[in-house]
Amino acid sequence: MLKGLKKLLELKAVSKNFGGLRAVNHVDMFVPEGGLYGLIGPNGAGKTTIFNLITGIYEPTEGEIIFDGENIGGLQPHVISRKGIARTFQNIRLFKELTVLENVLIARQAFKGYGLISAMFRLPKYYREEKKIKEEAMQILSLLGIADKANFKAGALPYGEQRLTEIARALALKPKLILLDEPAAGMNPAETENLMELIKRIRSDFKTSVLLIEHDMKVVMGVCEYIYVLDYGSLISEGTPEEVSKDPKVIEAYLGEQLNA
Amino acid sequence: MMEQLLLNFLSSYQIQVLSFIGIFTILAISLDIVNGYTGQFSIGHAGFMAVGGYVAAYLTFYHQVPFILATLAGAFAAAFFGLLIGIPTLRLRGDYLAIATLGFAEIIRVAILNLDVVGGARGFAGIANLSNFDIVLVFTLVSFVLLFNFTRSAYGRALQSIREDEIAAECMGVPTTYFKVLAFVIAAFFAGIAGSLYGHYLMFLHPNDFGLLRSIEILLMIVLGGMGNLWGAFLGAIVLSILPEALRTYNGIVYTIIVVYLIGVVISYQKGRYSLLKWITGIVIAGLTVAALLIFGKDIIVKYAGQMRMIIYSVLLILMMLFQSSGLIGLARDLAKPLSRKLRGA
Repeated sequence: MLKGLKKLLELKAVSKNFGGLRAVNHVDMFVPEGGLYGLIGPNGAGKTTIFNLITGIYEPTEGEIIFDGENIGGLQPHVISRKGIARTFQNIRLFKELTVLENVLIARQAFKGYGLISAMFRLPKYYREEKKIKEEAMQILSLLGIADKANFKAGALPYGEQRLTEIARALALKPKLILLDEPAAGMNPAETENLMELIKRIRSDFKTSVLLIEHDMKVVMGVCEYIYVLDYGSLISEGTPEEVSKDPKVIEAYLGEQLNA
Repeated sequence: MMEQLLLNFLSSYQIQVLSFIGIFTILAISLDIVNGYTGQFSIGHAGFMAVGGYVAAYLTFYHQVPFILATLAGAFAAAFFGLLIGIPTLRLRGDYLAIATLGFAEIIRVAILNLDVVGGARGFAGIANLSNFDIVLVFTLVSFVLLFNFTRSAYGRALQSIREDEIAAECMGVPTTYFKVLAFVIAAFFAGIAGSLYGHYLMFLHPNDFGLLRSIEILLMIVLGGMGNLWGAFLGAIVLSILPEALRTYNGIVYTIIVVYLIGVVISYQKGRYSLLKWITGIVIAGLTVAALLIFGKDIIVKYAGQMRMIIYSVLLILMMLFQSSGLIGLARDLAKPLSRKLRGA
């Protein structure tokens, strides 16, 4: 089934050492265009490290990270994000003192169509472009249902809405691939239901591929088409949700945690 | 024009104080771009001011370059130094950046001390009086508007994203190193303008005017006024330009004590629930203290007037840091809230 898909992101034998610790060990995985893939594993398995490698926060010790046909391993994060990879963070990293709208606008930074002089002298171009990027940002906020919170300080929002703001900010980059790091963490069951709908909508409305790290098995099994399972930095299993949930190695890695597929 | 008009109401000494408020406003708002908006801790602003001041003064003194051109040249020279210093040092964080910028300002000062062409340790005398209140006013207004627009643009948002979370900013496509250097260069540019205004106003420059104390003075203005807010920086520049002048006289000291005390009372009371009773109690306590000072403390105050200045300075700043980290502008905002609520009858 995997052969026919066009690979958007591919990790080729990627490893990452921190001193003597091998956090990620020869991982091979890929996400196809339009795919909604999951990455699961027990705590400390190296999931977030993989996200940090893809987004350029860490440089891989070995291996290649191919995005859109280009090796992006070791590039700076802002270069990688402009190539079309956006992410959210496990422990929300919003610009807390800024408003929700400003948070989203910052992600449109790369697309601002005016220079320093236009900004300082408020030339017509400034007004035109600001209006445009504000409209685009508001559109994204409306799609996520938080347009009414646009002028609230991001840090003052409840947890679930902060998560949504982070997703909105990531979507504002108009990414080809969005990496969601535990988006359901801290959400109540109702919010989680909405989130699952949202993740599916992100793919269809924004035409992006999604790679999802999630502890909530209900979310992973419910939305992902294909799942990679990581333990101690190595891939121990991969496949469709049904295949993965029946894999004895996966069950053993989770040791007692129930997989409610 | 404005100066002539103001001379009807104010002494020329008071107009000079106003001019310095303008010059220090430019310094404070430009430093706020780096320290307040971008969240980088620079304490070498006087160095850029010195570069701008000396370059501009050199040009008007030796080459009779028109003031505007000389000032712009000084500003660009300062900006160039900003770039030169910014590229290597902005990779440093926190304390390390502070020490590097401090070191840079000292290097500039010592270099000028040994530059005979601009007077060296004797100071640079005989600079033409090309700056006055009107010119300072125009430059201050223009600088404020330009920097204000800058902070309210995508550029300003990018700087603030760096302050809030550098890693998240990078992941959202903000080239953080570029913007940190840009902030530094722009701050240096405006510090250079302020330096030129300063030199051509006083008609004299001395390297020791641009030492550590001057840098800290500018830093205190933005801390006192409230970091990351140009109006706050402006407020800080006003207060810390007037305060040292006020503290020269006995009456000034007393008034200052009243104001500082009131601010202290307000800060401590606004922490709890706002009430008129608390306000009145605070004012009564403040009044009694001042009366006591006037009756029993006059000799002491007069005797130690010099030291009083520094004590009041320190007390004010400690109070601000401990209880009002958002500065005077934050205090004003917090006070306006319950008051406007009361006025609306809620």
